[in-house]
Amino acid sequence: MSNPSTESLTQQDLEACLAVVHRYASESLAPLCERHEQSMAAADMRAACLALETLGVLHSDQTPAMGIWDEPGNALAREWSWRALRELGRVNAGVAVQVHAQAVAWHLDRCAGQAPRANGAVVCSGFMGLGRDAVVADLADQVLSTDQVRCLADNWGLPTLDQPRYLFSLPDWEWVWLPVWTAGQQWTWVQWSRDMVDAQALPQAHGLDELTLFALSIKPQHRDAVPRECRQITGAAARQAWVEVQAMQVFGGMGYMQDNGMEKTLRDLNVLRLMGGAPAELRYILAYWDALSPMLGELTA
Amino acid sequence: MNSLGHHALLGHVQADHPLSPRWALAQLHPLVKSVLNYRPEPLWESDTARLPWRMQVYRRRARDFAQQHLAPLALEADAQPHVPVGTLSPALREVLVAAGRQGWLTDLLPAPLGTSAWLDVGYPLVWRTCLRVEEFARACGGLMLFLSAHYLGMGPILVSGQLPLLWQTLRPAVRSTLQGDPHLFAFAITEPGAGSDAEDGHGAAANRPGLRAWRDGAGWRLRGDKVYISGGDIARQLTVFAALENEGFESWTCFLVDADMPGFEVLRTELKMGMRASSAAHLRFNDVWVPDARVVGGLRQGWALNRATLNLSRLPVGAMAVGLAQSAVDVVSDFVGQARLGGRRLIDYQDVQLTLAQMLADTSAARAMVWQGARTWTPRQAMASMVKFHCTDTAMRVIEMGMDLMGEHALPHRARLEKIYRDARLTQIFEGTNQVNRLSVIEDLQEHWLPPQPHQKARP
Repeated sequence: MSNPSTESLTQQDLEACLAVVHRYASESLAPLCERHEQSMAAADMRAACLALETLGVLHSDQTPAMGIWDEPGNALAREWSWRALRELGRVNAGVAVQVHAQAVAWHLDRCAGQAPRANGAVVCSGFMGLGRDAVVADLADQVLSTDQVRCLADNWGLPTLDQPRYLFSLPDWEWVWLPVWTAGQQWTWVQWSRDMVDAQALPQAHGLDELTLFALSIKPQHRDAVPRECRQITGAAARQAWVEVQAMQVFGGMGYMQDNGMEKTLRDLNVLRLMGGAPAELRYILAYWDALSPMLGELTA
Repeated sequence: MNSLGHHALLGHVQADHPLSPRWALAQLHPLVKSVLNYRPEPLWESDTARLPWRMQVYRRRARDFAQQHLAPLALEADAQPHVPVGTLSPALREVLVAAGRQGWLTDLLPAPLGTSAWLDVGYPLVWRTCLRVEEFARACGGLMLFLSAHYLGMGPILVSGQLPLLWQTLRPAVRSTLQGDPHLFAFAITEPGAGSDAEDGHGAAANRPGLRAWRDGAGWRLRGDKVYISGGDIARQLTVFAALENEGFESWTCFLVDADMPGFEVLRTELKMGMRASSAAHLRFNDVWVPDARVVGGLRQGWALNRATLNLSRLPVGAMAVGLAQSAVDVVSDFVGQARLGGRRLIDYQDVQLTLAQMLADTSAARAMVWQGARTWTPRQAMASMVKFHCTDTAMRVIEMGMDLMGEHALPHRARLEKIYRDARLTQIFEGTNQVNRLSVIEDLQEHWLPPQPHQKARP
């Protein structure tokens, strides 16, 4: 997906854009979260997301531009994305996670071929993180064992009250993208609207105090057939989206780790450590590295 | 039952299988069997059985109290909003009163100076303390500290060796506590400019004390601040360390200050990462006058009292960490026994078993170290410090292993594990940071690396 706006992007442009984000983070964002033991108000946070949209750092048009994660295939655009997240994360990890998730959600909106929807969210883990090695083996095009197929179905099935998915987000999200795997359809990404989801807020989560932790499950009446108003990404496009999102997760993480209040940083790091697959699960990615690396393209260079 | 219908975890033989170790032991010669065969009881029971009978009774009582009074309140006490200085929520007051009435706040010495059973006085009190704080911390780190910090405040009075002071101070405190009006002590050494320096000889030598005492009539006036004092805002009496005017840390003297003495002020309590049921207070002494009779252990004896108290109190910090590691093991054991993935419970995956076994072994090893170190009346600085830093670091590692195993399920407050992490983080910091404790080990052993003095015999 080449694009005139980023095709001619130079390192110089990138540094100039980063200087804008840096100024915004230090001058506008930092005063809102000076006291790390008092978490930023949700309204301030939403306003910050809108301000970043005005700056063009978050970009909600259907045509990709210079927004974060607009063009995961372009190495320079990708560097811009994680370094912009780092500028935000330097001030507050919660803001960086929210902006990252919003950008990933909009990327998925574009993959679905439609205009991005406001107040989006995305869940990148299954019930038990990555659910062992099955997802990686599948994305690496390996033949799956019976146990791996079971793991896929269990971990990436439609979430239920007993097997929920976790979401850290601003509380006013309206749409959430979930990756789902079923034996019949294989991978799909489904964008559920809030009223189709049972979202239980879990107060006093370990970190990311600015965001709310939700346990999500799909309401029983919507479990049999995906409602028409839900967008979907299916087939090969769904797999491709998966690989891109995983890469965004890994690179996005690089953006979050900066100092702001030591104990909060420690808690936030713990959350980031466990989001989207715990360290023990990342070895599965390494195990299938050879098969995966061609799909990741430039990322492995 | 596992998913294959055997009464065994996946990858193991069931107990009545001819190749099961349990079955094999039952086949031994009756004489040998009576020694080598054992019942499959929980590890906690096997550990307890290793203790002398009185200590077994004590450990069981501590666990019963913790399960009945502390565990049900743990999450609520952690999440409650910050209360104004010097106040307690009704639930916390209830626990404090119950602990006091049952003797859990006064059991260092036997009656009339305490509530420990006379049958227990033959056992080192630091050992009993370790058993108690482990069980309390297993139920809740914050409530454990809430009920334990005050023993630290009693420490200098105890090691002062002044029987009249012990009598005058502890007897009314014990009586009041047993009658449902808890009389707490607090231990005040840390100053805004001297945290670790007050825990280490070399650091103290290079530091200027902040809290000062000068002569005024038949007593002393104290001026300065103390910070991060556990329970400092709810204590009725505090053992406060101050330097004498124009002298350094070697003049440190311990004063017994009443919270209602004019000039004593609690500025605030901290918002903390963990152990939130226990307050950490910033205290200010605005020329507080303390009579001579309240000098604990004599003038310029403060450093000695401090060192002796720390040698006694660093071992229990190791025990707290063991309790927290054990509670992480408890949480993770329950989780992997229930959560299912790919058609089986998590415990039926071999790599999960490997991680859990590692957590159990690390916790067991730390407990063994605490018990070994605590079975003495004369805790040595090197041992006390080794136990403190090794067990607290081990606990953090065990808890992190558990968090990695549970993944995002570890993050909600109700899952308990993230609170255990926050509670345990404090054990690496207080009673001397773990770095200072490492240096204390070497300080205590430094003769080993020094040339022998002329009057000493050469090392063999």
